[in-house]
Amino acid sequence: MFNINEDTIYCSTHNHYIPLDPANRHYQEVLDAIIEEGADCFDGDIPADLQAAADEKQFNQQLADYRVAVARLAQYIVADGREEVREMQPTGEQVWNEETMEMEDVMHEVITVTAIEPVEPTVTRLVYSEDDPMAEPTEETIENPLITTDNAERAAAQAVVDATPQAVVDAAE
Amino acid sequence: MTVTVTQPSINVREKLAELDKPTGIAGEAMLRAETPQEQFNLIGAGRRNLIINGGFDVWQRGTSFSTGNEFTADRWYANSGTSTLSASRQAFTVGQTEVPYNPSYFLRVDISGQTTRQLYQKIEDIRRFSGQTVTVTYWAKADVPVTPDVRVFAHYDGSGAELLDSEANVRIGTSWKKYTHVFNIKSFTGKTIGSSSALQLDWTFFDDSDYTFDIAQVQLELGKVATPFEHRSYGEELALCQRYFLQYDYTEFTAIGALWSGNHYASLNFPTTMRTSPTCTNSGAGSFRVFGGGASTESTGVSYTSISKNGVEISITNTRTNQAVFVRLDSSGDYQRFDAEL
Repeated sequence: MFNINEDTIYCSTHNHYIPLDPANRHYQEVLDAIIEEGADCFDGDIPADLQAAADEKQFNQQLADYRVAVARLAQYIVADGREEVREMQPTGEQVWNEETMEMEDVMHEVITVTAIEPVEPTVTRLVYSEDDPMAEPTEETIENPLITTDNAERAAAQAVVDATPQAVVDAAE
Repeated sequence: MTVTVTQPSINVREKLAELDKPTGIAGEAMLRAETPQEQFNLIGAGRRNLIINGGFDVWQRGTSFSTGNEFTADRWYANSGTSTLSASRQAFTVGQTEVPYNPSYFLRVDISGQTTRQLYQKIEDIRRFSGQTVTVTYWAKADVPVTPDVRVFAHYDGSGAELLDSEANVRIGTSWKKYTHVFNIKSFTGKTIGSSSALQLDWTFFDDSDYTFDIAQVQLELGKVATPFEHRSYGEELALCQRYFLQYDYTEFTAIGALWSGNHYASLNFPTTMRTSPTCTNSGAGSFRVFGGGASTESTGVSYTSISKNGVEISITNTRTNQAVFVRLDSSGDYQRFDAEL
């Protein structure tokens, strides 16, 4: 439990006098407690400047998490693979166009994104009997673990995106 | 026009004899170095060890710890997660030769059960490590073979940690041995670096057994070359530690106090500028004895105000009514702590 003692925060749980200094680790723990527990962690009202600091910290954390999640979702889906992307880009050379009477860039086709084949949707593994170690193993077909991991990470990233407040999304874009 | 240039003659035999000088490989490297900085690096001159208290000589908080999730030797944090962990200072036998340079102490971590544990130190200011290679050396042993991961993490702004590089499953045997790991650290371009940024050097234990892990002479230095452990005097090491943590025990603290609004106030200046304004605590309300007017009384409350990197005001509630008093920690076991750790 915290309260304000003159120009410090007093933590009665640990008998700590914590300065109002963002570089102090216990001060950051106070902000974390305000974010997680709200007014329950404070004896009396949370001072406005402390609440504002906690709000700013939460906003920055959500913004960082949102950017990581968006970057994860932007990666290709391993089950689908990735198509090659080509673009026409100037070579740096120029030639004289007699019809337009202007110098024009010489263009060439460049692969900007390489193709990646989709992974096999399933894999087969040998399963050994725990009861009979001498028995012949049986084959089992399961979803490719790469796809399973990819799906789980994408789902977790999507959950972060869905839970992000609109104000944070607006700041990220 | 004709110009005639005259040069002194060269004795080819003498020149060839000069090539026989016993310079050795290191001497050759020194001669071939193109800049003073290269020569500086070759002989490992200057301050190299970025770990503070790598020799485990400073133990301001005590010499035995049993709960985990706490600092142990100065600057060294033992993270026990939801479980516990014991740590203690152990003395080397005088004259032992297994670990060189006759160190006094090593840190012992006593681990039981499956929960992941960590031993780490955070090195202040991550900027200097951007795009660098660092070399970590230490001596270690365990009572049974263990395989911790040795890792380096980045703390950019005090929130969250990013794994930068690691050496997985380092096989620690049952006798003292020197271990060396080289870690490559990426560029931090684009990162926001805060006032509590740090590089964390970390031993993480996943082993599912009961064991003790001993560690001594930890060094982290820039570059790919492992140089001998850098010894600093105890006074110098203590001063480095006190930037992050300062403890006054019984008999180590006295101050002059003056009466103001019913309490006595004493000012305390720290022996070194701390990393940031520290968190202040003490052993309890009755930790101070106040002397004035030919008598003394125990304090009934102590609080701290005007906390800065360089000092603090201590407010002491007591029954003495003298304008001026002197105060001190009351008895054995009483302490004041100032914590500016990362």
